Amino acid sequence: MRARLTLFWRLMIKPLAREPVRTTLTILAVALGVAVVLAMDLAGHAATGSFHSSLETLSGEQNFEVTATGGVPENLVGKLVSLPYGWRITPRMEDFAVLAELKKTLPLIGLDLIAESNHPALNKSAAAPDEKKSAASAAFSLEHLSARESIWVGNSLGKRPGDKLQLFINDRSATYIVRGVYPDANGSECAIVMDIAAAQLALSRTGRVDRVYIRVPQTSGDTNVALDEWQRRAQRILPEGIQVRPAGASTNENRKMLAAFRWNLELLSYIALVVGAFLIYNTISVSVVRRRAEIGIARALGASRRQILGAFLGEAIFIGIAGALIGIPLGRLMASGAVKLMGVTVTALYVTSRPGEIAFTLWSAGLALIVGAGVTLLSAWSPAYEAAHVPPIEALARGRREFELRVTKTSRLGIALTLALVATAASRVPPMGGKPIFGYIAALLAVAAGGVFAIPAFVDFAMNAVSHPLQKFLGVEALLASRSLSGSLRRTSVLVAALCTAVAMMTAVGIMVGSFRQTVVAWMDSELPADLYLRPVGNPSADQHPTISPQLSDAITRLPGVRAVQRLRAYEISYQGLPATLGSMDLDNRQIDRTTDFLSGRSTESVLTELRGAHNVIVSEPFTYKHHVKAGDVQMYITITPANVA
Amino acid sequence: MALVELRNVIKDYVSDDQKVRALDGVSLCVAPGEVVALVGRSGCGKSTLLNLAGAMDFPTAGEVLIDGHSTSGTSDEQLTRLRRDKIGFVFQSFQLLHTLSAAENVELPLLLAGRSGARESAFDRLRAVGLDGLENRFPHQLSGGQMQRVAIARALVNAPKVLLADEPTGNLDTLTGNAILELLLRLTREQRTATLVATHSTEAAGIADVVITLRDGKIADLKRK
Ligand SMILES: Nc1ncnc2c1ncn2[C@@H]1O[C@H](COP(=O)(O)OP(=O)(O)O)[C@@H](O)[C@H]1O
Ligand SMILES: [Mg+2]
Repeated sequence: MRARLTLFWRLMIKPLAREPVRTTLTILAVALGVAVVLAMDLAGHAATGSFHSSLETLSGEQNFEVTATGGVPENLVGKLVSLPYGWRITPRMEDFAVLAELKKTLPLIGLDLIAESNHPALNKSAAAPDEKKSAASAAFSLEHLSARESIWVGNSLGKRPGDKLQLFINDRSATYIVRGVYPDANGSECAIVMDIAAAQLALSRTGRVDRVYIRVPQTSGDTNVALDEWQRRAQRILPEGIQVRPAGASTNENRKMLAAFRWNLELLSYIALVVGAFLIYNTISVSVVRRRAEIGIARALGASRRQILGAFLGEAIFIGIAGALIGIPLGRLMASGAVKLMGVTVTALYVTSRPGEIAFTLWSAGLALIVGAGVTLLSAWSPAYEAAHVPPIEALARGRREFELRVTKTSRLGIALTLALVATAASRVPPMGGKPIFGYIAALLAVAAGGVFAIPAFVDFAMNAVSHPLQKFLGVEALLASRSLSGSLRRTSVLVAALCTAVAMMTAVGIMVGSFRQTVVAWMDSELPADLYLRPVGNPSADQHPTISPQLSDAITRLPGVRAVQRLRAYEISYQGLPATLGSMDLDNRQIDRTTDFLSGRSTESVLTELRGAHNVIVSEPFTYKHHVKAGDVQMYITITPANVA
Repeated sequence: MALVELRNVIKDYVSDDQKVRALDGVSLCVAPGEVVALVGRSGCGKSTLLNLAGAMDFPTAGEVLIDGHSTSGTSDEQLTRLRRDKIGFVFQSFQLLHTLSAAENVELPLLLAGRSGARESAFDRLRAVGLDGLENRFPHQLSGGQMQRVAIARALVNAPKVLLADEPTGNLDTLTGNAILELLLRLTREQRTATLVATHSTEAAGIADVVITLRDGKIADLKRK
């Protein structure tokens, strides 16, 4: 036992201490691998797992939500309230306001504060310490409740009653007074709360509300059936075009839409796993391969296979655990950054959201540790096993494997070409169940083809190609460097493959985000061939459509030098259980040149002529894929109740 | 009884899909206390023969027997024990572990065998090869002759029955080389090992009991004193 420990210390640990730079780099590589895996795991869960919509803010427990494109007319709220069913009706305004001092977009919720003065969320402030309690109760004194400058904010904003806040709402800016602060620490988002009438005024949407919640009386027995029946009754009472859905349905729609994004993230985390594992494998296997000659000497001096394997596995565990110990906190740190980035992406692409908390569990730490130590172990095992199983003299002779690779590289190139052909074919197969299964197979094949089979030949070729010019321009040292690189072909190949995978991954993410931006830019260019594009202050989020008043657009039209103004209005709608954006614009504005390309190849003029004054729409290409519609289909059923122009 | 015996041994190497016959039907015996010198031009198969005799590699055909045990068809555990307990190997290029001191290099076979008193035995051996005082130096702090002495001390520390030395003087000047040869000869006689030395030097051939000349993998000549 003592001899074994002495041996382990001398042969495995001391060499580590003797090459501190190399050892540090090795441990850091493992740490980085662990960190990448952990960060993607944590961030993926946080960014999508607990997607939190601003719609859920302060909604309390409800049964149904009533919505309509462009808003629900107020008279319908009155109609619902007057029904003899004992329903609790909660109308709301929902939009966004921008905090002038922080340039931060927050949800703006309009509640009927007189009816809601015992709203659970707003009432929690009454449970605060005495001083606040009096402030809170003062906040609800009737004179302030419906005053148009009164607002209530979450305590995470750090404001106190009496503070003044400047807000941009749509195209207007005004100063508001904080009347009360409600606790929002436990997961609900900090929103700005106003009285519903004040919110309608601020948003220039008098006469309609954005959403009406219905809470039905608690019934005994089979509540599900009863709920269905209640929903049917509500739907019957309300005119066509008004939707009654279970509460949270729109949030669920958004969640459904985010499923694709989540799927991508999940895949990304698996890619991160592969890249992390690859990084670890490369580092560790190289560190074992480097010592192949030592393995040969030890075997010649009477070391058994078990001793060799045991020593390297012991060292691998040591490095793996050291790497994981550094990698776990590093990964946690990287996760915070990643969540922030993903939150921005989700908001830009889909819907205003706030990423959830990062749930750093024992399980994720365990996973990271298993990946770190496990992959390290496996990576060390394969070359150590190989070196321990050849005759000692062969282990002593370096370069033999490299030699073998050189011989087989031509046949490997053939395998790579075949795989590449299969990958090309697989990439043409349509998705299965909405998921590009064959696309992933194609990607995997491409990685296998490139990474494993083609790269040795490629590296060799590249080295041969550059060695002449290298020597010419950089002298003999450069030549030696390139020779020694191609000499250790195996190691170089692994490194090149790891780099390729990392670059490919970054490119993929870049394309994913970039292609969306690209389509937006392309669409804006063709649809809005304008020199200036005006939109109110705030996040450019996919689901926020702040408005500009017609007076302002008229004023801009009258400015000298302005040739034409094109007005555009967008709404969030729900179509076949998925969110969509409904856009509209002045078609009669003759001064705007339109150059939209239609897939049918028809001229812009003839398509737009059909739109004018008729029940026709044009849809985007992604929309046709998502909902399986084609030109001429009569499937859309959108009722827009007459709205005052905002 | 012979400690090392080769029976009609053939060894082929395959490279570039071409077969190279490094040994072609070699038979020989080495008895305890006997020194056999292998001479011949570079590439005639000396190293190959030593590797086979030390169970570092295995014959393509024929048999290699070490202390009566055939190296082919033996389990790896038995081979490991053979290398550990019966064979001392001195490599042409020393093959010292550069991260270990002289004494630690010499201790290595004993530690691998799990024997006690490794440190004392190592110091004894180093004294026997004339390196007392240099035990804690690292290989890069030693001269070529000193490194070769460390390698010899390491090869003999487990009191092997078979000592194999591949051109032990090849990297040394004549004077140092002769000293190393004398040392090998003395230790062989003292410990009654069966010793096989591949060499270029005529001095080495001069002190051997048997001189075998190899040519193209075959025994061309065998001179017994
Ligand atoms: N690992 C190997 N692969 C291929 N051929 C080898 C290998 N080792 C030795 N040879 C060939 O076998 C022959 C004998 O080599 P070797 O035993 O090293 O000769 P010597 O030690 O007498 O110089 C040579 O032709 C050499 O090229
Ligand atoms: Mg040789």
